[in-house]
Amino acid sequence: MTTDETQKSWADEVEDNDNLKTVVEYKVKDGKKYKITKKVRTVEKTTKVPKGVEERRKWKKFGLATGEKLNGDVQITCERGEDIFFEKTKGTISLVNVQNEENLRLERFKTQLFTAASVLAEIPGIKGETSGKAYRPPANRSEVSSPAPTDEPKKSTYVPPSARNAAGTTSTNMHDRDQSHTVRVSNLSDMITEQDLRNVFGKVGLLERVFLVTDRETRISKGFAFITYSTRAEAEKAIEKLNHLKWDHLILSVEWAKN
Amino acid sequence: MKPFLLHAHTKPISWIKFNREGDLIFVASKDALVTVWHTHNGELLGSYQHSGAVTCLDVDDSTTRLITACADQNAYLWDIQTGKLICQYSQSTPVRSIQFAEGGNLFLCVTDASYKNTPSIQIYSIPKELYESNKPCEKKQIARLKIEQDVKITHAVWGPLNETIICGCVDGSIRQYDSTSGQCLGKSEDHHKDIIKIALSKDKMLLISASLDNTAKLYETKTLELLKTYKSNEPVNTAAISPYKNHIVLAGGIAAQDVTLSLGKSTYFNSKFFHKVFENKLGEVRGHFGPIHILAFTPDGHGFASGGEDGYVRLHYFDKDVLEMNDGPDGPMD
Repeated sequence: MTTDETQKSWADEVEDNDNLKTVVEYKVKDGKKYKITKKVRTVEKTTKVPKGVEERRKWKKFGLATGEKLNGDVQITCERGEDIFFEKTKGTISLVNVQNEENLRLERFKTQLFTAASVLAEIPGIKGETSGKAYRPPANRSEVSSPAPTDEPKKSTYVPPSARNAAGTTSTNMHDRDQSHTVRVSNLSDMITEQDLRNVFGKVGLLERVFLVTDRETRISKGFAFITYSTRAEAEKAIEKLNHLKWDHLILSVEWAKN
Repeated sequence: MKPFLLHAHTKPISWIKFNREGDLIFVASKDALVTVWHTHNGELLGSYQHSGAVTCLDVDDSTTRLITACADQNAYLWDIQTGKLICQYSQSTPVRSIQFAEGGNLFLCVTDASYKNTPSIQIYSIPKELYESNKPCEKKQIARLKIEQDVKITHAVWGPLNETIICGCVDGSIRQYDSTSGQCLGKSEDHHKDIIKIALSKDKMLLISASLDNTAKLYETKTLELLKTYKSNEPVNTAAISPYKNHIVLAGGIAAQDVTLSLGKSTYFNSKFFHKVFENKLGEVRGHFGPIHILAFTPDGHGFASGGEDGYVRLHYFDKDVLEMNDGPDGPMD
């Protein structure tokens, strides 16, 4: 702060208490003499340490720390590293928040989608339990094959990078897959995880595969997903029920996956 | 948070240990040097010169004596304040791990196998006079008890109240021995690859194992009953249980020589935090540019230190938001 002797700065009006010190120094720059007034606030901080700790702080240095035996290749430094952060994993900011969010989502789900009592009856776990419960087909549909596990076991054979998906596992060939039961969900918020999709879309029908498209580097969702149902009818139902659903702050778009 | 970067070692860090009050941090490295630093300002206090790679160390509760395990087939006892060597415990194979018992008058050391020798855990007692004077002791020390085993032991620790010794082995098993008779009390075989390190909670009731099979597992110490599993994407070299929050930290990474043999990426060397009960990942702290070999929480749990292949020790103190993070119905313990 550079101030003229005659001109009073607004900062001078700050009340003087014991902690505030005024330091005045003079500096010559470009042939002009400046008076630099600095106000310094000193803050005293007391920390209590055990007796042993205080004693150990007075210990004499020994070994390398004395600097006697230092040779060229040993360099001792202690630097303050740059500011780094505890990078929190998405969705687990707080346990309570997660549960609340889950409940809210369920609440929204209840009011917006399944007002019809007949549909409600089909959904297990809508009261009480919130997660993990997938839609179970009624008894007369027992011939439907069980859903293929999406987490394929890792094989030790070499897979070219081009054939790997985000999880590092071999992706099954896109062209082999039957696209007729698959819907494309877009306009998802990037906080939505695959498990969320399972919870919501699993209530409409039996899921065969859920694939949330993520950025390979950052693992952040790209905002769209492919969901394969076991039958075409269920996929149709999903489009009918879930298209234009308001989820988080966005409106979902559910349509047939294009080949 | 702004970590302290402690750098004096030219080779990978093998062990980190805080003393009981947490004002000093001891660092062992493969460059045959052990250093001790002040934690409040990151200043180097002193060093203990060895003649071979140091694999492990431990400090007694009164911060007067330091024991180190060295690959030159010796265990050493040092005076902490002056840096003088007090006693040398010769072995016939490299010493892999070492730990003081509760009270500091016993310690265990783990020795490797060789052509003639089986892997063993040896228990030594430290006579009173070695605590009382700083005179070097020339007398040959003899182990009080030797527990021999057919499988290579990577790390061993004392159980609660010095009653047992628990060790992790390269076949993925965790074995428990009686510390007076040397009898095997139990065994768990949940890991399918080498266990690198095991660590106990502050009250010694819980045990966490870090394994190359990409997981860390939480056990009840007394029964070795498996309680929780924490999954990582890379081999886990080290894990620790927070004394302050319901957190688990684990770290590791694919070693440079294995990069071409594995599918994963080798660029991430982060310390990963998990919730102790719910097993979900809470977050990560990055910084190292090589695999992390050892993690240790400060005794008060307000920070942690990590040491890695890159020779750096990073000493972190958590920001307020981490310390005040809601971690379950119990809230902060202690």
